[in-house]
Amino acid sequence: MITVALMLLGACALDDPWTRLEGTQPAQWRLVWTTSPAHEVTVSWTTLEAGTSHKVHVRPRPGSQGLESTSVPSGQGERRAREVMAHRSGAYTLSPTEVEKEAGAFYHHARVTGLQASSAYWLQIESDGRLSPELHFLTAPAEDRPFKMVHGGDSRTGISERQEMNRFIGRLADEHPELISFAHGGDYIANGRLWGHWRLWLSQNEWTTSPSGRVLPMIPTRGNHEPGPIFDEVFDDPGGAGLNYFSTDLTPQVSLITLNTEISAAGDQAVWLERELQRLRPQRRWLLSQYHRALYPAVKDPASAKLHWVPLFEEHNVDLVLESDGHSVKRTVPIRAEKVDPSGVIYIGEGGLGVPQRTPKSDRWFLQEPGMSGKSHHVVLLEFGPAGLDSRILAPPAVSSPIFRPEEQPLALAPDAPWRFLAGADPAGASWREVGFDDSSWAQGTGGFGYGDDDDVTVLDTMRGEYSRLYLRALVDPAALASLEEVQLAIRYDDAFIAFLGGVEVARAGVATGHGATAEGLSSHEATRWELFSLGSGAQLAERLGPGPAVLALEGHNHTSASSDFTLHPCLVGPSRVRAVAMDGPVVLDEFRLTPRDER
Amino acid sequence: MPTRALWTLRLSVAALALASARDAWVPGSAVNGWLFMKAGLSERVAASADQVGAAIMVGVMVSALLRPSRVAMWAGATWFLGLALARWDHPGEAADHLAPISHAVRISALIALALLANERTQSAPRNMVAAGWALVVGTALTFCGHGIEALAHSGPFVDLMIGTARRWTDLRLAQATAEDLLTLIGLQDLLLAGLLLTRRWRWVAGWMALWGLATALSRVTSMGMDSWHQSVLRLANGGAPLTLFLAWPHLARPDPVPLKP
Repeated sequence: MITVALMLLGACALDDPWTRLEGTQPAQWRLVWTTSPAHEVTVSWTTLEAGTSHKVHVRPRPGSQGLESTSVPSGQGERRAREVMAHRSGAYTLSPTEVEKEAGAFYHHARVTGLQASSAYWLQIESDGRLSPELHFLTAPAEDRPFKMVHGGDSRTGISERQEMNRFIGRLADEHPELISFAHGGDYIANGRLWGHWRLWLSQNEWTTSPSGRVLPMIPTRGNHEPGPIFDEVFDDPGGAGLNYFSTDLTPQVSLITLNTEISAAGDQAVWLERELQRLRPQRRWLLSQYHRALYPAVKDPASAKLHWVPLFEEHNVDLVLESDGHSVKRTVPIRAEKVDPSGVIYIGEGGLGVPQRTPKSDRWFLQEPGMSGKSHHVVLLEFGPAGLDSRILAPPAVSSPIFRPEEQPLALAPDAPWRFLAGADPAGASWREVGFDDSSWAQGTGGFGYGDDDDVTVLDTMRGEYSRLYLRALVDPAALASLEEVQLAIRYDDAFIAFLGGVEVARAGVATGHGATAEGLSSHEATRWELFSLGSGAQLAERLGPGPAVLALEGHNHTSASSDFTLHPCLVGPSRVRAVAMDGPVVLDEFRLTPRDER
Repeated sequence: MPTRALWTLRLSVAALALASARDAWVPGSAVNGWLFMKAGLSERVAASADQVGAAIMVGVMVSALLRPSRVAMWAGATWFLGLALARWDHPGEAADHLAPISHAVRISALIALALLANERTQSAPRNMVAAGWALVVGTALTFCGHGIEALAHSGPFVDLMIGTARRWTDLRLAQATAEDLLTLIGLQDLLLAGLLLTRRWRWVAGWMALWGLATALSRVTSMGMDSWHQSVLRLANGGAPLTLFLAWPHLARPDPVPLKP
């Protein structure tokens, strides 16, 4: 009995999506790069209680080949590891409204120096004898060699979406051994003065650690939603407390200048920027900048820093500028003196790490071809090489491109198809998923079911507060499927669904286990975009379904019956114009290559 | 109510409305941001709110120029109150927690014009007194808010000074110097706000009018004509105290006219 109880307790802990904040257990780890990423890194973490002894254990991975290998043998890390004590610890600042409600927590920073360039390091964090998982990271190269960096901004209020993006970044770290860093463009949370907001973000940030335990050092930018002291407490005063501008030499040929749009842009920061650009441009093949508020925005008005920084960028021929804040996707044309100029500066962005996306103002002159704009969660993956700088804007798998409209795709079941639906009750058994089921007592409606967010065709007026499940059935012609090279379920959903084709489950999202009334592990999800789930080859599906009509059946789940909205809007489409790197790989929203300046 | 004073108020309100309509139409307003990002409503609903706000503002502008309507002015004041509260509750700038204070003059200018919409309402003494108080309190609160920002050496304020100096004098003003000046300006603003509220001296309103207009125009002097809407939005910062100055003592008498029994 005791063994079973302990197993259940263990199961509960394992079910936590991140490290629980308790006692002095190290949690919410992050690595920060500012100026010398080849030889230094700041290891930061959180404990619930203050504790007394905080340190990190770090050592080169045995037989480290630097960028060529990232795997770390387990259980070997404890021997001969260097101990580095935290140089700074303190309590995260609570806002006056949180003092009575939040438990608070403590930050710790350990600056590890004297690292070897291009090396993999094993890392473990210890606070009062409690240990973090074994982690590892790469240092930046000290020589001119190809590498990759990922950039993104604006996670903010998309709680489940940013978790998905964090997982995506973690997977990229394992899939791309040359990927060495994650530059964050700011706006991590909604209100930077609230520890509660940071607490959740920091916990979810653990998901950027790859499945193999690799942590990408962050190069953090301050956004406009991070006023106050907590940003500096989280990242150990990058660039100086309250200043937060610095340059990072990623290799001897590549530098990233991080700026702060939340302080004076024209004063000391501009003086420093001019000096840095003068110093770096002659020495660097690639010179980039990142900051939060866009100077060539896809949605908002330009930041006031435009007047002071754009002339400097153009004078010193910055290659690429990474922007955020707009909650959209964009790449500008090359710009110089407010005109298209092949030798000009390209601005790319604009914040898609989870925040709800906005429709860009795509008629702005700087977003015309060869530029682009769109609306999708995304990261920018940059690959730096001697012959070119390759940029790809990637969305996670099963995320639609910003240009995806189902009515423009080859259709097997239209978005406005008629459906039979059952609301407010659960069908008995599983026969409702089959073609022979008598659904004459079910209601009829046009595709696009839901309530609450003004995007529904068949509005379920009585759902809120009364029931949380909806069942749909629609007839599908297997011959229409056979004509498609690939069949995809395109769907907008809030919060979760399970789809069946010909009685067989073909897709689910947001439901961990079970079906219908026994469904468990429901997640929240916003229906901000069409999402694609590949069902496989149309010919193979048609063969399985046989002649005659088949049934596409869905059950939709709301997280709770009291939820403010619900959406279930499915259709079946063929291959879309959006290209995926692999069938289940990231979606490439945009890609281009820059050649070195002297070749342009 | 002197005609010059009334027209100053009407033009200030019209300017406010024009700039606010532009903000709702082009980048989207703070109400849009609150609805979409904080309340979690769809982008379409948030945009619809902006369309309503822009329509209200166009109505306010036309009304202020042609024939002030109490309904339009109260609707406009409600919209500006909504904007201020949206900024306060969903801050996107470091100073947004001060928005209800810093934007007070916009709301009070509309309330004052609602109270003085026509000759009939102007002839009611309590309307004149109430309008005067609205302008006094609104102006004082706005100067308070800006004074606090100045004392905090707000980055945008530093840039306005550096940008203006560079554009008009070729002088490269150091940040430290700009911050020292802002300290003085901040203290001045707080002092003026206090004097206006407590002493009701006409020259204080006059100086606030000049200062408010200068700082409103500083957006254009610093950033060029592309920022016209930012200056126009802030004309009431000078227009409201100028109205007080021109209407003295009708609006700002220390002793209110006793009401008829």
